[in-house]
Amino acid sequence: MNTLRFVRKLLRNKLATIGGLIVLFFLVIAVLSSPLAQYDPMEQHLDAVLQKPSGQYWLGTDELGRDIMTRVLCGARTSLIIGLLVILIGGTLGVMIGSISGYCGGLLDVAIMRIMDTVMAFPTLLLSLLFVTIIGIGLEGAVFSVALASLPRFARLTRGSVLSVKEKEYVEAAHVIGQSHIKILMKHILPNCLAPIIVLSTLTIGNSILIVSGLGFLGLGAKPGAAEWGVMLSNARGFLRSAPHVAMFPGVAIALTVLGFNLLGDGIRDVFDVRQK
Amino acid sequence: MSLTLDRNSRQDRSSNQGILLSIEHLAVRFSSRERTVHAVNGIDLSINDGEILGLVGESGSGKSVTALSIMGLIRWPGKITGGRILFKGEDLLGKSKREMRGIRGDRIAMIFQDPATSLNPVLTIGEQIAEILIYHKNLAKADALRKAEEMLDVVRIPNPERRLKEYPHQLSGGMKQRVMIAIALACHPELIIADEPTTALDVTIQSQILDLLKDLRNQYGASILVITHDIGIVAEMADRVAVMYCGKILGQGDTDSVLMNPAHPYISALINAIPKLDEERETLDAIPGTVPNLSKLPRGCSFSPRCKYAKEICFDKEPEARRIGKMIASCWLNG
Amino acid sequence: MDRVRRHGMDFLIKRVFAIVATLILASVIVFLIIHLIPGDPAELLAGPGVPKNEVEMIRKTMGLDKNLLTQYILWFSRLLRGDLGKSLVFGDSILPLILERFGNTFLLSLFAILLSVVIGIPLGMASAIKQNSSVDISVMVISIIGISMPIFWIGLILILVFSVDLRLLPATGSGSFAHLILPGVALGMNSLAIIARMTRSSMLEILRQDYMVTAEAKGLPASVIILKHALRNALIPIVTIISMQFGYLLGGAVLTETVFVYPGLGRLLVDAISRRDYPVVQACILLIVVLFIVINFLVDMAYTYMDPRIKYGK
Repeated sequence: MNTLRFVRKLLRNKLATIGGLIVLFFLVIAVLSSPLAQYDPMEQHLDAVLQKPSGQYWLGTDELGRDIMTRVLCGARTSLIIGLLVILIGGTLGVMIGSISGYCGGLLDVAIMRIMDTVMAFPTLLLSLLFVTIIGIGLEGAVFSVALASLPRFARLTRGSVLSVKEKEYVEAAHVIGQSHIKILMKHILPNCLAPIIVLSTLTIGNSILIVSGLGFLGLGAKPGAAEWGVMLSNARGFLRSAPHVAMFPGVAIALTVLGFNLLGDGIRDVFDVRQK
Repeated sequence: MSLTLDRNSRQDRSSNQGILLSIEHLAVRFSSRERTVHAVNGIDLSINDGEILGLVGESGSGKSVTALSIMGLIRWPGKITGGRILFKGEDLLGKSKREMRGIRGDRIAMIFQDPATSLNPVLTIGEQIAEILIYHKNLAKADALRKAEEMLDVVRIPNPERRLKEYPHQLSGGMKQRVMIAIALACHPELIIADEPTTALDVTIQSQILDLLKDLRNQYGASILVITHDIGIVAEMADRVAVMYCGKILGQGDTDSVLMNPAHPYISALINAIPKLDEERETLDAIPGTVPNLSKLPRGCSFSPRCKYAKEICFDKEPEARRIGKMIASCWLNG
Repeated sequence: MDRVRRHGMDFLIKRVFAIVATLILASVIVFLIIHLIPGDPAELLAGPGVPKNEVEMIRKTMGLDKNLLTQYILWFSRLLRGDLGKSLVFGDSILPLILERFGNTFLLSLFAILLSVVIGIPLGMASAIKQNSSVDISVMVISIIGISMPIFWIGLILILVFSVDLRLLPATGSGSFAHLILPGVALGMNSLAIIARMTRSSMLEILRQDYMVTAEAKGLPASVIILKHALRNALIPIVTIISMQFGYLLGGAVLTETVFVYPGLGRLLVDAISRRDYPVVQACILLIVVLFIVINFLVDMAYTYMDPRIKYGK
């Protein structure tokens, strides 16, 4: 698939372009968070507590005098890592399970898909709560939970693609030649699934950030003092009246980032859809 | 279907019969970002009281678009760019949306090609017939349902009372099409447009439906515009026939005359392409070439690129419609 | 999902059997949770800092020294009697606690879903009918923003504007209708966006169908065409989504209840998790799982009932 043509088609969709720009911006500040940050995210300036945005503290300070701008930047990096880990773990496992399920078929397929359907029926947050109960509170647990909760969608998607390609002639031809199953899977079948997997991955990153920050907000994700957007929002609750800006910035950060990924994911889906038609 | 000229069932419609519908210079185009398609390119057509007019053409010739134009169902990206459609003297194209809604279903009704998808799957048969009576004739629901049952009987559906409560998917294809006819007939319209009424049906059912339409015309005196790509159907039931190609009418006249003396190479080619039962043949006489791109019509006569007898003028100027014997044809070969 | 194309008693019986089987399976899984958590189940159930002899007593009463099957049967029979154990934090019997909290969540979710349906469906319809118009685009944009914004942030903003600044509505607690409004709106936003989007795509799909042209050809008034012909068809998948959303809300009002300190099931669950009140955690999860299965079943039934093609299969 021609990358250049794809990008050009994507750019024609205005909403997708906006999403792409937001995501790009997010990636940049996440990667460059260290050099960009003026202060240390944990550094408390107890003489400058709950200050409004100023020349010294660009986004103001929180209740312990920590620089909000720095913490938002670090939160971006944390969120990026979270998103990537989720699609890495959940996506890879999901694709593997889905391919095996679709390729082998039969009772195994039915059983696996039943399990996947049951898991998918529950909202991700609830599932994450369940996993957190078992795994334990903390950011690692949260990430793992969301990864497991996202797994079924990848599995279902891959299985669907595998099923549709499995019966095609070139796959049969490969069988006849004697290619091993794994090779067939990797060379012929999986490349066809690439498009919807990319779409799902993009949307999943956004969703993961949403859920993990939600868990952080509940106190079940990142540690209470950490520079994570959800945790920051939770702390800001006590100061809504006196210092609303403390809640504003992390909230806007989450909303904007997730919006970006959603717009981008939708846009990519539209581009692939049109080609399919 | 062979081309037996069924003279007995056709009535002789002479020109002093009233003209029900008259289409004058109708032009319809469809525009998209990339190109503009001239689906209908200035056609003149008329239907008389109580007659069956067959509109024949390949797919893409513009016949369905013509039907939709009469009904006022052309929507974006389609647009009627010129002409008049006179229904009993009144121009339908000048009517408001509200007025057209009053005419549609009541005075002009339409039957569509695929009955399987043309009926609403979540409403009962009774509801789908009754509603047209409720809205056009202001009947109460109970009366409308009773009339609906009558209509089912008229279209020869057995057990009409039971059918009223059934859903479309419970009926066979032939029965579904009869229901469509019942819906069309319910308000006793003056004109019924049947767009490929039998194409989606089994061959055995086809003739039943066509016979039904013919009988209904005799019973109710409605005019029927039958749109089809099958000349056989036209031969069997139409009083007059018009042949369309690339949005233009190449020839029209009463069926016997057109079929016996086509006066246009396309029409004779269509007739010849159908193998006859009493003939020995090795190959089918298909028309060479393909239908041109409707957004890039050739200059001159649209059929010229495929015409065996095309002269130089055919490629240059569009032929005018001229009366040749008992029909009107547009072809330079006629002089 | 494949559906049995027959209406009637054996269909119903089959489905009821399936649901009972699923419920039992779910109970097994929930029962196993305690055993999946690292640590000694008796200690987990007893709570931290409890003297050894009490732990042993719990082990005896819960039958934790016996094999898993016996334990499960003991647990299940206690369940059927309504004994869900005692909360480690509150010390009270769990069942009444859960039911009260559930009632609150139910109320809140009902309000939220009503809000999202009443606003979402018309928006989705308008969007589909006037496709690509400014109405359509704004609805699409608003709905995508609605899906992207974190509920807890929406909640905070609502509190900021309506409670803090305007002093119109209470921010926390429960007890009156006014207490439902802010959390209900926050909770409903997400569902509203999803329902609007779903309505739009479903309507678009239906409007393209041949039978819509037939309806127009009958000369019926526009309202009849849209409401009777289009919406009836479009609603089938939408009702499924609405029911699913309701299920989500019931079990997932977690974030909203936390922000607004609303005494609901979600907040109970979260509190229990952070305080390691495992009996309550187990009970909450069980309730939520049962709810889900039941709602799923009802959705299945609704779908079957709404689509005559399935109800009266050939």
